[in-house]
Amino acid sequence: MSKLDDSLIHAALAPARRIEPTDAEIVRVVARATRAPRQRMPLRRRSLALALVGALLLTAAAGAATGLLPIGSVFEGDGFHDGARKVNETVVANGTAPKSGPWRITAFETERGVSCLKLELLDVAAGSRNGPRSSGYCGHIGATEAFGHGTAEAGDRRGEIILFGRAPDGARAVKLTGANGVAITMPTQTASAGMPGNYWLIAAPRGVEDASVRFLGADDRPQGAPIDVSYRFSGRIKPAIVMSGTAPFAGPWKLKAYESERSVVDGDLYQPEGLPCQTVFLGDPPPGTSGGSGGCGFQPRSPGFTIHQLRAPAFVNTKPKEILSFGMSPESADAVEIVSSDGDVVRSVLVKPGPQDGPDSTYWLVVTGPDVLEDAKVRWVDRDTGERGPELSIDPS
Amino acid sequence: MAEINHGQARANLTDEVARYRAGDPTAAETLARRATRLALRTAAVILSSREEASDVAQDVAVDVLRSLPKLREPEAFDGWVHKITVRHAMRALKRRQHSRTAETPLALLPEPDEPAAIEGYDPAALLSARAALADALAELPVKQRLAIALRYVHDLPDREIAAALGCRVGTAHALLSRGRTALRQNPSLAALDPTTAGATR
Repeated sequence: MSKLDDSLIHAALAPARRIEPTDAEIVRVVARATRAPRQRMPLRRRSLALALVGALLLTAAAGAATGLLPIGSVFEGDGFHDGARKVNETVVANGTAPKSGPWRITAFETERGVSCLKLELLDVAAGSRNGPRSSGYCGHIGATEAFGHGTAEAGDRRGEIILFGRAPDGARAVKLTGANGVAITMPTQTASAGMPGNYWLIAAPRGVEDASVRFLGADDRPQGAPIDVSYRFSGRIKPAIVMSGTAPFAGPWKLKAYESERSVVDGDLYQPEGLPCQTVFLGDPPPGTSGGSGGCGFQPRSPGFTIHQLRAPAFVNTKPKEILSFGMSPESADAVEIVSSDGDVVRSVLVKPGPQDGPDSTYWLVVTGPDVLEDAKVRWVDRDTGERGPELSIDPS
Repeated sequence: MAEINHGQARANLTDEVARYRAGDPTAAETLARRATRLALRTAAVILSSREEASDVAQDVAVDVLRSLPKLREPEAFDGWVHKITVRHAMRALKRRQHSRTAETPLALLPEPDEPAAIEGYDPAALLSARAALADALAELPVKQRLAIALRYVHDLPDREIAAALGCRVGTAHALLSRGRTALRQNPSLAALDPTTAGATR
């Protein structure tokens, strides 16, 4: 009597019985099957043609739309539940990136009514080797017209940097430029009537220096200020203490720079991966004071500049004694200034450079009482050139 | 009831093929998915690699869609797919002889949607069985391996296995029989007893 019975073979081969093809595989099959057969060209010409196609792909960075589902399609997707639950996702843009392959951007609402934008790389087989295949953001997408530099870690691992988001109304294209002559322009894609807005994606090669993104309106006229995306090209941000000191009331503090990790709660992706973060930690927090405070993300109005605060103490309805305002500043900044409503510089602090293997940024921290920040603005300044960043509001309470 | 479902499935397939021939892109996608799925599952067992199986499955599906106008009986679609899969899988194995790749056998990879335990089997024992079976299958002659895959992955009867392999029913039966015997005699599987290996039934 055999010890290897049929049911065991059956059970052992169960994984093969459940394999499903990916959408990307089906896209390729349909495209190949419906393409007119071509005559094969001689080998030398073929090599040349392949090289040319490769070069064109690299230059164009993102190809024509090839997603199975056209824009406006609604399908039952995972949202950010990672398979645990389903949500109705609406396709708002799609295409093919040179290395990351077919992609689509979908919009949907979580159960709590939060709007989300999700980029999904459809080549699952590649994703399983090279890291996560989706990225995105949940928040007020509609109000955040310039929500921009997406954080697709998935793309990074495939050797290209993927930037995506929603464009302002009227933006017909988006252009990535860099100091080393790189210029990539991609048209925005207009979503369907049920999900209005223009959406965009740029897949760029690694190593673009001083990268920034700008929207182009009619006649290719620039729309709004450039968005600094250089930190996306500077590799992973290794966690590091970039500044430390002692505040009169809050005591010893350390400013840590690091990179956000993806955080999902009940399908609401409230923090994407890969954003630059800064947090201040207090070594000996006074009563009523949190041991740490900070945040991740960027200031769309002031590229490369962020503002976070820690209040000491942080009792509700009580004025704090001290506020530690801090953040990231552009590499070219020398100092950060607090400017009163009269335009006077009431406080100025020198910035400190970040670690060598982090983004090309500097960091700042200023300790003040709340009165100093009343009606004040904050900006960075490059004293060599006299260049100043936009003046941004700062919370005095 | 099963007959009614099979009848319905056949009618749907005939309809899809007719719509594909009329140029309906939705039918192209449906048939591409069906063909790719069938081919992928067979190729995964034969090649033990998701990547290589994907290449084979895509080639099969493209061939199937392109040759669909020649298919006189649309209900024979699945058989047509199996037949072309056999051809492509054998070709892939030949190619592999020239360039061997090292990859974790597919049978060993945990599936994201795999239930915690397949009914009646201890998961650890099942994993061992998969490992041993993957190794043992790789040592079988190609046609025996294909016959085993078509039987245990797609539940095909001898007649359909024979059609896919392009041989007589008796030959398919013999291939299956020899394949099973070889597996039983394989040292890594010989000692594998469902009862001692953790099966509870």
